Amino acid sequence: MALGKIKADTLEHSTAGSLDTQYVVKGSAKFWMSVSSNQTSLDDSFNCSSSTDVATGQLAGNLTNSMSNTHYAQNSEMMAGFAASVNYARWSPHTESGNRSTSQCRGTAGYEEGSTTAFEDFPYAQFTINGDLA
Amino acid sequence: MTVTPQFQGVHLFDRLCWCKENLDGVQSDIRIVFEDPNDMDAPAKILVPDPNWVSAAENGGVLPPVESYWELAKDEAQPDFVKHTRGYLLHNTEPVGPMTETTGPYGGWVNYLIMKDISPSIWQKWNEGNKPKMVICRKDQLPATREWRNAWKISEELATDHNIAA
Repeated sequence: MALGKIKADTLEHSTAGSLDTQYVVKGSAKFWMSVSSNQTSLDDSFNCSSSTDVATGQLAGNLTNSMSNTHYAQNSEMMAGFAASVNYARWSPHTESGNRSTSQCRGTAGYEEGSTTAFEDFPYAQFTINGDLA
Repeated sequence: MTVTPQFQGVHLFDRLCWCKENLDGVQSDIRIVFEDPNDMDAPAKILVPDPNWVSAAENGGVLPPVESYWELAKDEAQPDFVKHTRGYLLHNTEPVGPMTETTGPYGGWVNYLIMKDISPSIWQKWNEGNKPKMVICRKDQLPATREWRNAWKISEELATDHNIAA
C-alpha cells in the first residue's frame, strides 16, 4: 500500500448512486482474530496484539488500537471439531459484555444443563469488532 | 528489514494497515503465563503474542510507547468514563524503535507486551510472595493437552529468580 492519499467524502457509481465515505470508515470492522488449537494458537488477525487463554472455553483478544468506548459491537464465533464427543446441540458461543474494555474483548463457549453452566474448549474461534476507534 | 515510513502523527490503525500489507507475520513460541492475585481460585492465564503485532514490534517505528496505553487505561478507570478523548496519545507520540524478544526499547517486545496486555498489579509484583505470579516460557513447556485446564497453576517449585516454567 502506497502512502499517497486519496481524499474523498463521497464515492459515486456511474448508475447506482453515491456513498458517503463515512459509511466505509465507520462501518468497517476494526478488529478481527482467528484462533485455533483450543485457544492456544493465534493464526491471523488485524489490530490484535495478543490473545489470552483465560480458562476452559474462555478466550480474550487484546487490541493494538483501542476502541473509543465499550459500546462496540462484537461478534464471536466458536467452531467445534465434530470428531469430539461433545454434544454440540447444547453448545453455545457467547460474547461477553461484562468483562470487556476498550482494549480487550472476551468470548466464551459452553452449555447449560439444568442449573449448571459449564464451559468447554472450542478448537477454532473468530472474533470481530465493529465500532469507533480511539 | 522493511523500512518503516515516518509514522509519528499517522493514525495507529493506518499504520497497522501498512504493516498488514508490507510485513510478514512472525509466529513466536513465547508464552506468558500469569495468575491474578485478586482471583487466586482462577486458573493460570496464558498470553499468546499475535504474529502481526510481533512483526510490527520487530520492524519498529509502528507501535506507540507503552506509556500511551497506560494513560488510556487511567482514563478508562475513572468512574465517569464515557469514551476516550486522548486517542492522540496512540497516534501522535513518537513510535517505538525496533525490538527483538529481549533487546531494544523496554528490554524487548516481550516486556512491552507484558506491560501492555497484562495488569500492572501482576507484572509490577510478579516476584513477590512464595512463587512467581508470572512466567515467560516457550510453548512446548506448557502441558501438551488441555486436560484439567481449569486447574493449571504456576508451579510452586519455581523460585522467583527463575524464568522458566515447570
